[in-house]
Amino acid sequence: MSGRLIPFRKGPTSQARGRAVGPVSGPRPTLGGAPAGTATPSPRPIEASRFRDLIAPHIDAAYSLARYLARDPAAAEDIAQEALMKALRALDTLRGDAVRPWLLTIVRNTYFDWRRRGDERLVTGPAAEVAFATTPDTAQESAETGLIRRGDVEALRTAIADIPEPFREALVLRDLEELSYRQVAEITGAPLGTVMSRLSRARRLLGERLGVMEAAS
Amino acid sequence: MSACPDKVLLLHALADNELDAKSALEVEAHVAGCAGCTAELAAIR
Repeated sequence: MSGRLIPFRKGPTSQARGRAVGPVSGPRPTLGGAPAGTATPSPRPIEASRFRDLIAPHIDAAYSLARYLARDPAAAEDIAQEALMKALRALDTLRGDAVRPWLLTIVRNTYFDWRRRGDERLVTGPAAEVAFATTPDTAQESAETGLIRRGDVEALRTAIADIPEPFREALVLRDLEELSYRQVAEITGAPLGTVMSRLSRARRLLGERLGVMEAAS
Repeated sequence: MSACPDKVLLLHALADNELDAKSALEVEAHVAGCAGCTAELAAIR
């Protein structure tokens, strides 16, 4: 099922809900996209261009991961922006060319920071976590394909949001962001074997929710 | 019909191209003779 999940993409209308979110705001806060100096906290030109070259291509991935982890668009927006600011500040520490795993690690850490802060203004209740036993009993053939064909991307996203966190995380990083097992292990700090079992479990849970796999025996 | 419990993770790894050649061949050989694992692999893919 690799590569067939649907990423969240940052729409042109998604805004930061009127809150002060730091120096970066507006419908498309690609830090390096605009002429330098208008939106960024005056990074050195060399940093601005590095940011544009290295990180800007992965902004959608950052937002998508934040969205799947937080399961709340407004929170995801904040998390992604905060992570991008951290990335900008930490650009010096980036070694090698594995930019995406590096950036997604920052997103993930930012998400956990956010959760630890217990941001109560957001309504990310346990609804998705408890709606566990709901398995659609329809469709023997590939319901996932059917859902996508009907453009019912939301159902797939809901099904993913339904999966408990460590499994959801593995699923998103591997099947959506298409990282290798090793990269997923590095980002999540879990042993490779744990990544494998989480991924396997996540796919089964997703399959059950979409009605393409028989329920776990 | 379900896959062999000890093979499930390997089936996912095979589908993800995460196995080295030797392991991939071993798993494929097993799948060829095991209906449960064949079905599981198809479901994963």
